[in-house]
Amino acid sequence: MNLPEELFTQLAEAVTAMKPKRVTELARQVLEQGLSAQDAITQGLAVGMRRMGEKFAAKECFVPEVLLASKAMYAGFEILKAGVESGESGVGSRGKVALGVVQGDIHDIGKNIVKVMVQAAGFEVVDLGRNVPLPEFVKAAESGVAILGVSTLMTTTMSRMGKVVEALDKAGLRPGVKVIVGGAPVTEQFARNIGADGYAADAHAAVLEIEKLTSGQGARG
Amino acid sequence: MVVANHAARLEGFSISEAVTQPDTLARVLSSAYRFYGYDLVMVFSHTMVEAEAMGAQVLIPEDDDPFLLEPPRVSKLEPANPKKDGRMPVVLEAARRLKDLLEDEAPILTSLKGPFSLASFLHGMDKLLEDLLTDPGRAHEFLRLATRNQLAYAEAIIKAGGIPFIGDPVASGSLISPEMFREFARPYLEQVIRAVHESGAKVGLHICGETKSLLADMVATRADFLSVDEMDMALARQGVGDTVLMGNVSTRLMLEGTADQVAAAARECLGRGGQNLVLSTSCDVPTEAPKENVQAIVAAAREWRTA
Repeated sequence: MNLPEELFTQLAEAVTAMKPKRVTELARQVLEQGLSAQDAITQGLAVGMRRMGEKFAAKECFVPEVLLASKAMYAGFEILKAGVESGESGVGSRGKVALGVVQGDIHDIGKNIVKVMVQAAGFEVVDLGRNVPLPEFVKAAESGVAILGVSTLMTTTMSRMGKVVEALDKAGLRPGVKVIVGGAPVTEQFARNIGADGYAADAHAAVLEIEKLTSGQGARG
Repeated sequence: MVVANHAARLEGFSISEAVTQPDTLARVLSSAYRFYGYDLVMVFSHTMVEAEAMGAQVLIPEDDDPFLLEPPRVSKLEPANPKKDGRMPVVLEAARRLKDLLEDEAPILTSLKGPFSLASFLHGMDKLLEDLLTDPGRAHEFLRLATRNQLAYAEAIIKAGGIPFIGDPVASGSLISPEMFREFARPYLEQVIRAVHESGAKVGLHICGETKSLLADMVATRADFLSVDEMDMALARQGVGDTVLMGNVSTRLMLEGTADQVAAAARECLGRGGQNLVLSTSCDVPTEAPKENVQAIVAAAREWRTA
């Protein structure tokens, strides 16, 4: 029998080592030993994923490694979410976040990485997918999400992010729904120009920004 | 300057008309060339031309940039026939017509995807990237297939009078490590580039995103000119030595900046890029970029010449 902390550390390490089988094994042990699945997610899986995000930002690893670590993280998440009772301060309890890549752009690797990190941080994620038409973003905002994350990898489709903000304004959905934008060509200046509430340069920053915006002190711009 | 869909917009054609009809494509490209007065044209239908010809599903909206919906869903992938498959014939025919329209006064670059990027469109981007670590053998199979396709397409481009301009957006330092580039991207680029050189033609290479870490490897491909995305041109020059360098006024600035800002960025490029520089943008000129911003780049280059 391991100490919970040890098991969580091993989970984090198995995520950064990109080992889905090992993560699955450890996640089962968490449930068998009656430990908190929620703690295993936040102190194990999420820690591993965050470390991966930091390594990526420092160019110590690249997208292939992050994709495989995400897979490992999901393997554990699938098992542990069964152990998180609904209503418990756990999966999805911190609010609902919708994420989507604007229409015309099918690059969703970045969005998927953000999704993993945001879920790991305890938010419920509504994944709108890639190539998302404008009305879909509005529909998601109407459905009661706290945050709408909009991204694109291409300069050619960047202008659509501003259109999303405009459409939400027109529909009277802001400031109830906060908009956070990201993606390779997006800058903080651009986010401010189109009137978004937040900006994140990478997945780790996205989690911090979402936490800031949902904590009630969400500074605009 | 890489003016693609922007040219259609300039002439009042929809993007779908321009990318599917060789006459229209040649016409908008030559008109944009005459209107702006830059020094080369670039034939580009859409990023997925080769993947589409091999069976990928591409959506061409009425007036917007086409994009990939699904990789090919066939049991056995084969290289395409440039003479008849997908929109390869559109590109080739447009190149031939431009040759007539411009009477050899300007080089006609023609877009050719790098094998790594094409393989990612054929296999699925996530899958290819994961395979680099978990199933390199399968990654190499897709890369060999993509290379076979590109060897045939490059030959057809040269016959049509075009200069292959390889764009390899996925083989980017933003996505993969320099080691991965060396193992999975560079050898296949070298094959294509060697074949082009054997036909007596020239060839360029553009990589999107972060390229600082890849400059030495880009030089090693022996491409005749190298185009880089946003980065300090002095550093790029240091990295590529005497090789012809192309770039790199920010496409973001082209879209959002004023003509004065674009002109200043163009002068900075010219100042820092040194000799053997083709002044251009960091990637395609965005469709919606104001005319004044494209004109500002051309003007900056002309003034520089006479300065």
